[in-house]
Amino acid sequence: MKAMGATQTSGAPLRARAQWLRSAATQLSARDIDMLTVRAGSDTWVGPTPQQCLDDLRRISRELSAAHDELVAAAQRLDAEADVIDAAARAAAVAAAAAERAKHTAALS
Amino acid sequence: MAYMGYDPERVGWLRDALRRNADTLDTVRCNDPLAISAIARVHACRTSILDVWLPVVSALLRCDALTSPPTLHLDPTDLRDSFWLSIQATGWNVITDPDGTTHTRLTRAQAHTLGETLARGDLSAWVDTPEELDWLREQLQTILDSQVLVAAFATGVGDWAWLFDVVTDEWRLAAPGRQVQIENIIPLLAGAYVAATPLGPAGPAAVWTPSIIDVIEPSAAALLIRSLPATATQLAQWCDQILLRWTTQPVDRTSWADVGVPGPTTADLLFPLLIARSPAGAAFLSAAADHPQIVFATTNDGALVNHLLLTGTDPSVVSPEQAGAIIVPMIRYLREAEPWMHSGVLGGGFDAHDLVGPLIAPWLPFMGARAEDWDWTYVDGDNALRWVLKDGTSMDALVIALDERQNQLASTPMMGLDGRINDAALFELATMFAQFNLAFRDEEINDATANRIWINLTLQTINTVSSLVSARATVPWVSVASTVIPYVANGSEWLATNIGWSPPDEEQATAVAMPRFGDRMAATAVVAVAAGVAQLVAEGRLDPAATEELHLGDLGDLGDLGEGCAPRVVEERLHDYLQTLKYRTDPAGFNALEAVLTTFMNPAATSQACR
Repeated sequence: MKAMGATQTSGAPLRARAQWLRSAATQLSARDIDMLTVRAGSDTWVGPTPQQCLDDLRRISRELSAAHDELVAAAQRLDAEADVIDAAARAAAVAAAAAERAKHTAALS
Repeated sequence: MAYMGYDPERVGWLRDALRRNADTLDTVRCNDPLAISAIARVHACRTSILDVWLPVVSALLRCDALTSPPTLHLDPTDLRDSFWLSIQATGWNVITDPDGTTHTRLTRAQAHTLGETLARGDLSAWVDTPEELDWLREQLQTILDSQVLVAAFATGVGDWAWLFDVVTDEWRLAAPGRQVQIENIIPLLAGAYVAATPLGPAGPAAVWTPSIIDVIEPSAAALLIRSLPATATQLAQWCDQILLRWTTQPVDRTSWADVGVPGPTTADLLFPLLIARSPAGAAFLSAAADHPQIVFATTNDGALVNHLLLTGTDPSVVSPEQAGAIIVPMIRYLREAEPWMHSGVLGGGFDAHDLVGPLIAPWLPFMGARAEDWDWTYVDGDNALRWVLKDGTSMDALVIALDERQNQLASTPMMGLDGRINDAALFELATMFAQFNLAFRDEEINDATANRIWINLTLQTINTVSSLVSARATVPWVSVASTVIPYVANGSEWLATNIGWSPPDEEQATAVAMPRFGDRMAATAVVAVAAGVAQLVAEGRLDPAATEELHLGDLGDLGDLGEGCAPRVVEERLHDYLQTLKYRTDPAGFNALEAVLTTFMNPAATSQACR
């Protein structure tokens, strides 16, 4: 997905989005779903239903890990795009400054 | 029916954890377009927890709080209920699981309880139905697939020796169908034992022994090692160890569990393993040579012992030296044990004599000509041979064994490619003849069985001599039988009519006797020379007319020979006959014929016979 407009001159908005995504990922990583699978283990209950429950909670744990990784990866992509935009902006600024200096020098001479 | 067991307090903790997680997941929010997929996953997970599992757990606790769970009737003697009984005993609730269709995985706790229950001892009560045994087999198979479960099961078992002993007792007392079921379970228990127990150094050269076989009943050890992977050497060593222990008095009881009760003994269980792997059988017999009682005094099944002896001393498996190291001590033991080792003795299942004939049949030269190779003397070997020949049963067994070996007799190369004669083999054969001949004479053996032995040896002579004069290194027995015997039988009538020898027809063999020492010597020499001539003719190295030129018909009955002693007369005739062939065949063929005559009939031998 393209980040925002192609004409963006600052990476700051992308970095803000990345930070938001990271926050959500951090909330997920703070979950105690792994502890939940321990609670649902054979020390608590045994039988077909308990086993189904444990299997499903393990699946949920895997799903949440995948969601967490997906959010972190999206954030990294946004950061990378922001880096590119900021670098381009810096290069443009440097070029503009150089042009300005050249113009000023020409005027003096 | 499927059960569910639960600890109410812990289920309460689970409910709290489910709620907490659902609440946590509810706070995970992000409206960024890149988070849509991830957030959807999170919400789906939350829905599962909130809408599926929280209600299940809550309902369980609500039911538990309002009404006591219905008491389930668990069978205290059903192995399948043992786990549920054990957790019930610790305060858990056990109810019927609403989901009775899902196949549940075995837990560590269940594996542990199963091991504990089995080792508790009253196995006949725990597994008294085929369904329970089937269920046990399935559980053990599952346990073997997981090292974690094996460890849990082993911890539950604790005392493996006790478990193997009670399982063996159960097996011994079981009806045949149930016995098979238990036999299917023992390898699984053995597998768990091996997986859970450090057995010793690994690697092909390592010889380790599961120490438990020195602790459990020998019959239990036998059932155990049937299921253990082992090299031939290991198997032989274990069998030796177990049976040696079986032959000693147990320390804490009157006798071993398989003594004096119906069913197979420890040896009955072990010998088939050794028979199935002949190198193991040979290694076992080699070890048993120091204590032969473990072979002969551990079973009443003579056929089994016989089979083991033949397997472990088969010429294709052991060298002559190895065979001697086994057979000599075995024969010595049997001769000493003869008074009590026969079927007439209480508890005796077979006769010592039954075993020896077949045992020595492949190794006859080592009873005489090659006795020194077996580290005993000619006299020792000869005495042993006569001990065999004196008993009708063992002589019968020897004859049968010789009959069975006829097809293998032509395997000795009698002449090298350079034309040199294998005089040692020829000498062995002649010595064997003489030895039997003397034994028949001295022991006054003069019956059909002796005659059959004689014919067997005569056939061996034909075969050997044919090989000797043949251009080929060896002569297959089939070719000898098809070329030589018809010639001898049909072309030389004197063999059948005057000397009494005939081809290997059993009816004739039992009807025709070979009464005299000298006659047999003469007959052997004639057969040998005739066989050699026939072979040369068959190979085109001698003109066929030669077969018509040996004239003995005028001699009449050798026993009534008027003009002199039969061996001497026959020797002269044979000598003259060979001289007529000297320039009609190649030098190698002629030399071979002369060697045959000299070996089977020479002036020294005939002088002794005609003394």
